[in-house]
Amino acid sequence: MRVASSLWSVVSKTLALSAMLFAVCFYAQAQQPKKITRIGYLVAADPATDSARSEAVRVALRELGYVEVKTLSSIIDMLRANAIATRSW
Amino acid sequence: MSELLRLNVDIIVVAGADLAIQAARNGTKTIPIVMIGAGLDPVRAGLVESLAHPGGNITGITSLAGELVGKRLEVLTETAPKITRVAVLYDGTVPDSVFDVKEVLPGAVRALRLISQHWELRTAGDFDKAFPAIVRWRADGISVPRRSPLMRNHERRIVAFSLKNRLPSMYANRLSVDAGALMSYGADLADSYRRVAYYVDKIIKGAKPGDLPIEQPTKFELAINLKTANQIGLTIPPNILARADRVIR
Repeated sequence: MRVASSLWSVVSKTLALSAMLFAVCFYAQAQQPKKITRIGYLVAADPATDSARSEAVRVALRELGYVEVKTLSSIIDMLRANAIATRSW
Repeated sequence: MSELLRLNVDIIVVAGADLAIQAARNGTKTIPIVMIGAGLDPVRAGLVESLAHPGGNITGITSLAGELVGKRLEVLTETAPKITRVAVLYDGTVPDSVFDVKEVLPGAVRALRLISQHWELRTAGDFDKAFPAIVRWRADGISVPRRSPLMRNHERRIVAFSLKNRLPSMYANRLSVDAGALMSYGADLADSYRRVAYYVDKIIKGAKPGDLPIEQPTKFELAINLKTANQIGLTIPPNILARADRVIR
């Protein structure tokens, strides 16, 4: 089985905007337990098969107001290579 | 899985394979896990306490794979009414596939007045043995209830076998139809994937995964490959074709 992993970091658009517009409130913002959420994505399919599906998750997250801060592509590549090389479930 | 844990992820989304979900569960009992499209029954697999209240750190969406075993046979025989003997190919390494075949299939077969024989597959060599045995058994239809990694890896062989012997075939996933299978009926996985965002959002906002009920799919899709139908000399009834969500011409 091929297993690919990837990592997305998303941040709530609402929180990000609040931090920019209300600088005096940054302390309160800092009290937020997390502004950026790291989402690990584990899939048992080759990247070509999965790409449309994982994109559906991303689109739905955007519709809920989340912004993808970064996709760690180098890590994704490393993880995929590593997963394909070592996983045999 | 261990790579993700080292990256200090806040939420793990696990897609589309029972063993991957088991691996995620074995990897962490604390990080929230949102599963998508798993074929297993998460209660029977011991992953959660109940669908309504999962407990623990797993929630998400199942695919109802087992519940659809009978429905798939029904659609297959509506499509090809001459079918009386169905060969069922399943992955013996997947506990839920074994459960389907041993516990769910017999009732479905009786209800439709069919005769079935199942072939348990575990290795590539098992396919070599199964194909001639299916011919000898005089099957007139093929059913592949779950698209496990083993079945996926050998999908083209099953498709080629079905074409060569002009056997109508029913699968669980439309990707099999893209690969040349006659038809599939299953949960609309794209819909399930979109729904994942709901769970992620709730968890980010503080909900405990164990408090978020596991959902079952509400949208299903029927896929038909008309090229394959033509190759095996089968005319798809208009009422079936009208129900199809995806038709390959």
